[in-house]
Amino acid sequence: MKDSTSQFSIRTKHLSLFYDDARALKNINLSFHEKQVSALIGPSGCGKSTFLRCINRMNDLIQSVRIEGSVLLDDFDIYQAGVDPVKVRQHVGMVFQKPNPFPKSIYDNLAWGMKINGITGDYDELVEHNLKKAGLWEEVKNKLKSSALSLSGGQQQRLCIARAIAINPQIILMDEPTSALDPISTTIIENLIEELKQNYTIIIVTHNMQQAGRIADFTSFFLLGEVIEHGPTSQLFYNPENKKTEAYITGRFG
Amino acid sequence: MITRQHLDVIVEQLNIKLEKLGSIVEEAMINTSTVLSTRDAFLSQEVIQKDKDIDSMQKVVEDFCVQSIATQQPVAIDLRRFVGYIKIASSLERIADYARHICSLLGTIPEETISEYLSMLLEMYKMTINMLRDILPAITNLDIDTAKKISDSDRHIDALHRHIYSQILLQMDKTNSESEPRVSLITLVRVIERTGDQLSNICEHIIYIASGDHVELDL
Repeated sequence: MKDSTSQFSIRTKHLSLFYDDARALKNINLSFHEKQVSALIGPSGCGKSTFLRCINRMNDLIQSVRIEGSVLLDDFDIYQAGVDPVKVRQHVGMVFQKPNPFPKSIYDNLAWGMKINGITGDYDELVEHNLKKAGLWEEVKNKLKSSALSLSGGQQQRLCIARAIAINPQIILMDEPTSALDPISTTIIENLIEELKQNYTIIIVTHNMQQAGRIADFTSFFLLGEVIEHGPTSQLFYNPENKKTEAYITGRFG
Repeated sequence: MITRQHLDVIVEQLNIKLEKLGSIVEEAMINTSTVLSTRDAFLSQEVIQKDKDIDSMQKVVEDFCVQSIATQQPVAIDLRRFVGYIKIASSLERIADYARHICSLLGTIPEETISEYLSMLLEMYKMTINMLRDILPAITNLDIDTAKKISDSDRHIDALHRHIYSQILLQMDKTNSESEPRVSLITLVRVIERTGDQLSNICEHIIYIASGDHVELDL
């Protein structure tokens, strides 16, 4: 994939997704600014996680799913014929709600991911470098051979972020990355997202609107598979243009 | 329809506190209007004394807003309501300060100096009282149309201010009499005019809360 001079690293065009005949995403046209944090908010079942999984072709594995439209990574359509989803995921990393480290050592969680993705170099250095970027190095540098499962939930989530960035993606998708964490771990992850923004485009699904307000430069409000409003976060939470957005964010909904 | 019932209850409590503040400011203004026409020294003292209660009530509204922002994390129109109410409470408190100021100034202006302007001054000040009466329900209802209409009255108050001001200056030139009471009189007219401006500001705050737009109504 080529370097892009565009200010957007991801754009979707007329993106629709069907589960059999049910249309879960309706004609989504969104552009995500490069090296910015964008939040997707909306009630459960509105399609925000489904949309997120379209961006690294995670929905391909579901039998009944059919996708129309395109997802452009820089200017490259990741749904065009012959594209290997595994290659797409090298450019678009993902962090999930529940930390999911491999049941291996802290070191191997990073080294193994790099190895299978063809990253070469001095793994000791790369492991240290990426753990530092994820803000975890100081806490684990003396126990790299310990099981990743011995870490706390917040540490495991940062390990998953380290593992995601170790394969040098351009984009990191996060699906409610802090909803299983305590407030301190949440703050650490939010600070980390702010730092990672210097190098990565980040799209985060969150149910916590205050979190969107704190960390996201842009916010999109999803409802029933549609994007109701997309804009600068401060604008959306200060004076939303759409009445449905206002009803949702002020908690008057129905 | 799902609503944030607890937040709605808090907004209701806030409205009651703001209405209380509004009503004691209105009482101070009515008393000030009486002091203007009767020069009742006892009532004048009462207005000056009671200003402390208004100051305390303003702080009650302000603290309630800040606490609600901290505990409820409101956004959009809810957030603007709390921020806007802080400003409105501040304007109301200032209007009461002006009432106290009018009462104090009256003690320094002899009856013969004020008599020929009194009916105009009363007309001006009664206009501000009527503005306040119309504004209080417009605040809680976030009634933009009424807010715009009310602020039109401020133009009449400004016009009266200019008229009285020029009359006083003319008189000062003519009579060459002792000028200090007349300077107090000019200040008094100015304070009534500022009362109208503060009411106009409240109208702007209502529009801000309801729409998010910053407007200038007293241009």
